[in-house]
Amino acid sequence: MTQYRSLGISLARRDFKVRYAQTKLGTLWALIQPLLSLAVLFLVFQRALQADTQSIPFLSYTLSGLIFWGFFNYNLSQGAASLIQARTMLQKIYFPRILLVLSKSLVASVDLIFVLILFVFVAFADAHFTLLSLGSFAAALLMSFFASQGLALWFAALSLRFRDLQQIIPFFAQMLFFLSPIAYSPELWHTALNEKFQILLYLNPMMGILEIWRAGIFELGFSANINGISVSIAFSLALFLSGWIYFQKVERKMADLL
Amino acid sequence: MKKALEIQGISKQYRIAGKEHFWALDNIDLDLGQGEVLGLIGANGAGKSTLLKILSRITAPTKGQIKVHGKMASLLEVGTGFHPELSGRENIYLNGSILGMSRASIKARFDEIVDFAGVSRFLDMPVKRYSSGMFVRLAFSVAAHLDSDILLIDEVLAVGDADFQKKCLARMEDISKAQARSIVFVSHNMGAINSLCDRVAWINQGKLQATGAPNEIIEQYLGGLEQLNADSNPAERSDREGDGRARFQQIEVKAKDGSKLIKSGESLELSLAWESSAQAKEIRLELHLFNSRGNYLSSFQHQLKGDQQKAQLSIPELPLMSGRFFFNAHIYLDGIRADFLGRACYFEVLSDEWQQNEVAVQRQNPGVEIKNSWQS
Repeated sequence: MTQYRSLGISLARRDFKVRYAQTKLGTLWALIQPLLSLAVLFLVFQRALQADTQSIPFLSYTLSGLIFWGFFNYNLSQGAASLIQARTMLQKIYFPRILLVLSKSLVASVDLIFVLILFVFVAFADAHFTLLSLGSFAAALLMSFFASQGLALWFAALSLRFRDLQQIIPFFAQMLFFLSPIAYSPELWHTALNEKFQILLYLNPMMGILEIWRAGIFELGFSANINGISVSIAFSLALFLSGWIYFQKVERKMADLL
Repeated sequence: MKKALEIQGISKQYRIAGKEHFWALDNIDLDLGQGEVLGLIGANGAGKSTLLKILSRITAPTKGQIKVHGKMASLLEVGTGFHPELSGRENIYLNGSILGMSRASIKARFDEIVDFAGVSRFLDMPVKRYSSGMFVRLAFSVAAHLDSDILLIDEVLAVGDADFQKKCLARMEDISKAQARSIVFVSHNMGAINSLCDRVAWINQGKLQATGAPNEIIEQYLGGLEQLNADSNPAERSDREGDGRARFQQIEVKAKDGSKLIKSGESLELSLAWESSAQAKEIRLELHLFNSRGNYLSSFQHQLKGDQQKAQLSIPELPLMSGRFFFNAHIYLDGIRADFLGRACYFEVLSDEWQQNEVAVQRQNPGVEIKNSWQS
């Protein structure tokens, strides 16, 4: 067990070190990237569309969303590609393959901390750093982990057999981004769609994740969305559990599929 | 002897294009004792690597089971899992943990690993700037310090310079003898197999052809040569040149002890026999030595009286690298060629000498070993 923990940490360290190797700005990119997205989102959603952000200043609101979107997206896209990227290793060495996918969360967590620090500065006046917000942060993080890892496990295992998935994943992530209330209020959906479809929207785990997190940090309350949030939670757990089981099932065939 | 590994009825089927199936391994039964070094030999595609992959759990067998007593580590290709951007130090940790060591045990052996590889000055340099020799040394060193009971090794010795190869072999010997750990070793280098293994298993087209003492099995394996030589039985061949007044009946290569295993630096005996249908005053024999690629290496000539019907050539210290070679044979009666056989006799040279280069090119295109010394 300690040996596998060591491996997970080693893989994450590798990813983290390699990512900014030989770049001039190095780790600063972990801050520059969210700042740039924030700037673009500000232009599009605030200036051009004047999207509702539940009476929270746009920058604080959107950055609160980017914290988890960044984590979710990194896990999903990097985790899904991790097996194919490590194909020579898979053909030469045995180790629990699931660590390739799971270790991506450690790297994503480091990124998340950078954005979180940025958030504390930007949203100092708007956020409520209470015990409740800490709880909602923990819950949102856990959900993000389960949901994104669940998807990554499915995609990673399936993409060995169906290489087409590699083409779909970036596209899928982009769609999720627009469907998630990162730079706009989820209430926009409430007015735009009837109730049946609203529940379906919560199959996107980011819906539940962001509502739980913002309910705590901005003291927004749950705005009577307990049903939707429950769907998000249940679906996240189901994704993770099924992903894990499927991954284990095909693990021993992986080397033959490469 | 206590068993370290029990392979019971292992078969592996691969699907090739559509509905066609192919058995890469067919019902293999094999044991490995504790502290034993088992060599796996066989032609390319015979299934050796598939077996190692199954043993190391990279892929699952279609049928059969494997019992492992102890911790197993595999070294199927040195340097897999190394990242070029990371430093030597970071790669030691990364590679060590991929191969199954905990950070604590890597730390405990860190200095040993670095010493063995001889890269202490370059520890903080990205490995992409290492010379290929340094890279391989570091990679083997990490693997050689794994704390496993069973080590699976696939052709690692084909890399690195001569000094380092010696070190690797010594290390492997130490692992098996002093530390009583077991090794499964796959190689095409019969010299390495012969000097390192306690027992050899020959895999042929997915089946276990034979197991036993290294020199016996290697001799059987190289028996493919006998087939080659039998096909070119000098008495029966029709693709010959010359006026036919003499015909080679027998051309055979042996070591001094009569065995077919010819070792570099030891003696080679070539016996020739012929029949002649005409009187001659003088016979001249000419033998030309080529390597398996057909590159000319050397010639041997001998003059003898016209009534002789056999001769023997002795080379006391055969200066050849390990690999396959053949002779072309000519016989002249009174200066006119009476018989010629191309590729008249094949033989294989093994080498215990690790000083010699084992780079792939040389193995497939073996040449002459020249005694030498350096001053500097």
